[in-house]
Amino acid sequence: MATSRRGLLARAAALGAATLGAGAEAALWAPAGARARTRVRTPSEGQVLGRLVEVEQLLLFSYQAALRSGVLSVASRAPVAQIAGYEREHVRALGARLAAMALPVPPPPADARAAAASLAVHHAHVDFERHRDDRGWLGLLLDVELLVQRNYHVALGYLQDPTLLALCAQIYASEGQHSALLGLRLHPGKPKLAIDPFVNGN
Amino acid sequence: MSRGVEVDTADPPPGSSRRALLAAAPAALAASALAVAGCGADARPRGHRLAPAAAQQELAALNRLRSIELLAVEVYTAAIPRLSRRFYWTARQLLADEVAHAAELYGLIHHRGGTPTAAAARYDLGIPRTPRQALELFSTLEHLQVSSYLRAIPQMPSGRVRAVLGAILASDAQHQAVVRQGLGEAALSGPYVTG
Repeated sequence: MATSRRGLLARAAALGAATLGAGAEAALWAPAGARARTRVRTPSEGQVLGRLVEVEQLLLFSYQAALRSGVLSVASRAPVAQIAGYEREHVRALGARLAAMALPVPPPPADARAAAASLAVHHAHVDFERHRDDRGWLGLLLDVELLVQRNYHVALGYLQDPTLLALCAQIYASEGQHSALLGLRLHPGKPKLAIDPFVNGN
Repeated sequence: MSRGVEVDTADPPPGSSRRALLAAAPAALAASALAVAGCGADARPRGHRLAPAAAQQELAALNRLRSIELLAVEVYTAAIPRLSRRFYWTARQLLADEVAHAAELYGLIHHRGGTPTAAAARYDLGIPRTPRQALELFSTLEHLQVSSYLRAIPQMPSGRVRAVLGAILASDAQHQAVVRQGLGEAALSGPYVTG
């Protein structure tokens, strides 16, 4: 990452702290530059779904980059590959809902530079080209998982359709499990660092 | 509900008696309830008010979820002293999370003018005889919680409440994965957590 993981987490926490205020919820869906200046309208369900597809694609890209890096340990590779498969399914399912609404499905990031630029819009500054070891990749994946969780947390507040809510709740819970698994790999024997009483991306 | 758990002779950690945990849990619940605005979410209602029937329905659902969280507090409190060291600290963390969930629901109900239930739900979850059976009991319990939140979320009229319940659901899903791992099972069961 261009900035340290600690810095990214601090910024995410600062953003997350504001996530639950009504105004801040709307602001999270606004382009970064617009947040401070304008009042943002409540997004439509299509916009919410589109945003979820976008962040899921970034998450999938991150898992694929970790797998491609060739530095993951044998013990890390299996769960990372398994979770990557699950993220692919999330993208497919959410994309199918968008398509059913006759809305365009956001394309996946074309390359590492595009993925980094999209993550920067979400206040996550990642350099995929930087050399990382096993722990470095797991840390990056955990950070992007937190970003995705924050988006689901906000999305549940906006969505109205019960079927969409049910789907997003199931995926949200799944992302929670992913971060717990990554956390336990990063901090074996320290559950306090891997599980949260409130999984909202903070 | 009686939950006899076979004593594991492997080094019970200090301060781990059931009495100590039982004494600590209500105090933690009370403290957490007072600080409720600071944990999962701000429980202030949004700008619009719900119709009375919808508000009552929401309160009833929140109380059902709280009663299940209180059951979880009871089960973990009863079973933790019987666990071996290997899962002891993890279970303590899970108990602390359940206490926080119950307190958060207390806050949501209270802020909406309801009366938070103090009664734990009653389910026949069986009586564990071994540490492994205790973990299996935790697994059943977490499954029950996850299923309950998955059912409740789409029916909640308030977006803010749905978001808070989502944060608790994902936490209980984490518990589910950790307990499965403790049982030597695959932590993840698929791309969707279905309860």
